[in-house]
Amino acid sequence: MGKKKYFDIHGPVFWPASVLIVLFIAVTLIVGSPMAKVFSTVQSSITDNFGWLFIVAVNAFIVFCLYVGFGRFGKIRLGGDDAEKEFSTPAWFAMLFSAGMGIGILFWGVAEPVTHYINPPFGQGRTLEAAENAMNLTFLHWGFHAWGIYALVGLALAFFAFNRNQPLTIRSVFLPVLGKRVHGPIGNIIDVFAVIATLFGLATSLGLGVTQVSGGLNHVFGTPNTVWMQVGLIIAITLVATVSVVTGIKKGVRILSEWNVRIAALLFILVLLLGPTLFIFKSFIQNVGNYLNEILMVSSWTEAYRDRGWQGGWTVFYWAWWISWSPFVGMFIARVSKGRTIREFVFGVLLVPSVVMFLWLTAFGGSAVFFDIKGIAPGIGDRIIADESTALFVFFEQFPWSSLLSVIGILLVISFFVTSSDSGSLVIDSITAGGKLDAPVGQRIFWANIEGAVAAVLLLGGGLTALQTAAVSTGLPFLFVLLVMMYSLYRGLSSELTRAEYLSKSQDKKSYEKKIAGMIAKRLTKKEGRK
Amino acid sequence: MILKKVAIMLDLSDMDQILLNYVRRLHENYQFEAVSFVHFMEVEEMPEEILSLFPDLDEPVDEMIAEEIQEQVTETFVEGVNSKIYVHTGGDMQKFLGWLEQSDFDLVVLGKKAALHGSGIFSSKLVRLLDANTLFVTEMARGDIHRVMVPIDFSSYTNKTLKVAREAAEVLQAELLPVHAVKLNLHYYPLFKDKKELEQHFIKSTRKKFDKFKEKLKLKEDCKCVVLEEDAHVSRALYDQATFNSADLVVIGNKGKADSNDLLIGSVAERLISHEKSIPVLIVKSSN
Repeated sequence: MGKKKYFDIHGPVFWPASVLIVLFIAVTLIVGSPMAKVFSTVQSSITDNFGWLFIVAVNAFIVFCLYVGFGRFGKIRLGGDDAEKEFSTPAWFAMLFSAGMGIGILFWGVAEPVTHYINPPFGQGRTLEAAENAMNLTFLHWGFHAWGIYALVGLALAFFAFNRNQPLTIRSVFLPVLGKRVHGPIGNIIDVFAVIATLFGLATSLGLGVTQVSGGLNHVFGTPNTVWMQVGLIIAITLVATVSVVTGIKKGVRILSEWNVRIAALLFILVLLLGPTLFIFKSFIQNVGNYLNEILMVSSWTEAYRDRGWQGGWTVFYWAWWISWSPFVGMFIARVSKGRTIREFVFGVLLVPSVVMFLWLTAFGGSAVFFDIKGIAPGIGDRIIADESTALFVFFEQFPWSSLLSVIGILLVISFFVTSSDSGSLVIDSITAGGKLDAPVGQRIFWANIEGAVAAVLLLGGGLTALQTAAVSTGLPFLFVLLVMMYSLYRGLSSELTRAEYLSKSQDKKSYEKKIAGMIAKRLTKKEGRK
Repeated sequence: MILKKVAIMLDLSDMDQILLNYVRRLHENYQFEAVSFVHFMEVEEMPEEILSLFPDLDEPVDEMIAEEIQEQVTETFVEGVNSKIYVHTGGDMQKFLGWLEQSDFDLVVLGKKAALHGSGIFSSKLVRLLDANTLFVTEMARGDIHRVMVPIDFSSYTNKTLKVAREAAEVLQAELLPVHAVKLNLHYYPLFKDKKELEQHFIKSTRKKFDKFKEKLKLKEDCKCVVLEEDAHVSRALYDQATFNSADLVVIGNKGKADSNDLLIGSVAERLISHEKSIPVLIVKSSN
């Protein structure tokens, strides 16, 4: 081990993943602008042909989670019966909150509900009905279904890591299906998929984040908002992230991620107090009710009777995006959930982050819709949907100290960028190092830079469409991985219950003790005799 | 060879002698690469009140157990075997299973007592929880093995089960007796009115299915097809077959076609080990 101070990888995963990604970067750069067309063709062909599969699979995941959580498996404890919780319940909730917060919600929080309100997939735009439906759809994309995906991956990872002592990588989850072959080539292929999916999912987030930072800077300070500005920002922010890793300021990133949640909370409270407070409270309740009422309809809608391609850019994109970076979020929630029962886990992971999302979306997107529909800020809706990356800042114009809010917003996105990049590279690094968590820092820097590079190349190669394509096309193969994962987890949990049943059968200790006592007596007398 | 690394579970009862003798006979033919003699201490610690009875006790109990086993082994077992003695302390079954799984044994040998009760729980737990081939040796087990019966059901477990059985028959120079038991089901009724006709159909289709294995595994023997009435038990029929054909060893897959995934051991294997009083049963696990 001593020799591996600077380089400690699991070759069969590290090299294929790296080569594929570098190849992707090279091809995109060499082909240049025609790549934009390639990206949009790939995206539409995947969403056209496999959209329905995403829809049905994501519904299956949530049904499976509920079955596992509230059925007979619910009482299984992650880490075994005598496992102790590592975090108190409020601290655990807080960590799930923070898993739910991220660049995505800052980017889409205002833009998405307003877009659905103005250009609804069904019915007339800018109506009361459109406003309610807009919130429904947004809740669908950020609510229980999204967290069902993470709950599945997180639960599977936690179960096999803590109850079966497997390394914390995606391949471990396939133990019941593949047996010892998880350590072989099939396991390597699964992990390569996981790495690529995570990396592109992350790159999508980073790309969105950086367009938002660029848009925000342009909005507040009038700096140019071009692709090259965005690429420059990626380089600069990745550099900051790298420096913080190199100098060993592990604490720095931890403090940053704690402050992320605090700043986000502060921003939320400011919007709540300075914005239409009463409306936010009222509509939160109504939106949740509407969402619960319509959940079956919106979650199973596949645009079957007409085909406007609306869903490909929204629902299917989201499902693919969540799936593609489910290893990232799943690993995070798995690591903090040791000692929880499966029931607690499913309940916590489905409910807590979803409610946070609903609150945030109501306060931000809901208020923006409110401003438009009530005529408080005429034309705000159109200005918001004109450019998603500046949506948040256009929204802040309606508030006192709007520049200050915008600057806080920009800093928050940057900070999310740094922490996502850092923790994302930790996850990828640990998968490519065969499940180790203490792999050398150099590798993490490598992955952090690769993530930045992929995000930059995607932006150069086709902007938002390219980002969405990345998520959608890596999400598809990983969707199949998740479907098998569901089955595998079911088998693992079933045999866990049977094992527990047999292990709990008590043995006759008294007769065993008697037997041993007899043996001791016999041996001692024999010894005595020899003397 | 499929069976190379063997572990023998000794529980310090009279059964140990039978086990050691039996495995020694197997070893004469198999020439195992490594044999481990294993004892699992079922209690966390020996209670003080028992230890206080032996003021002269000057070594840890587990070391004494190891010595006891060593003596038995030198008495019974042939020399020149790559052998190891291991006493698992702490009384934690889960940890013990972990150790067994890590050690990667090809065969775990357990004793099965017909008369003595109370000590069967350890064996029955082990066979259900352990992911390794397990051989149940009965008190009346015969050391000479002339006939190896292998019940099959053409499920995904059949291939590996047949391989282990074929190896046993070859190594022990015994006769291999594949048996397939089918039940006469009412749902065949409209298609086959005649019971004879149905029986013939089963026998024919069994032969056809078995021919594939015969070719692949280069077997000489044919598969015997036993047709049962609907309310009969497959395990009972197999038991009868084993006795009737005077088999000395039964090799069976851990699960059959109809067994669900939760079970670590199938219903027929389960019944065989709980009812079979005289013939040793080798359960082939093939989850890997």
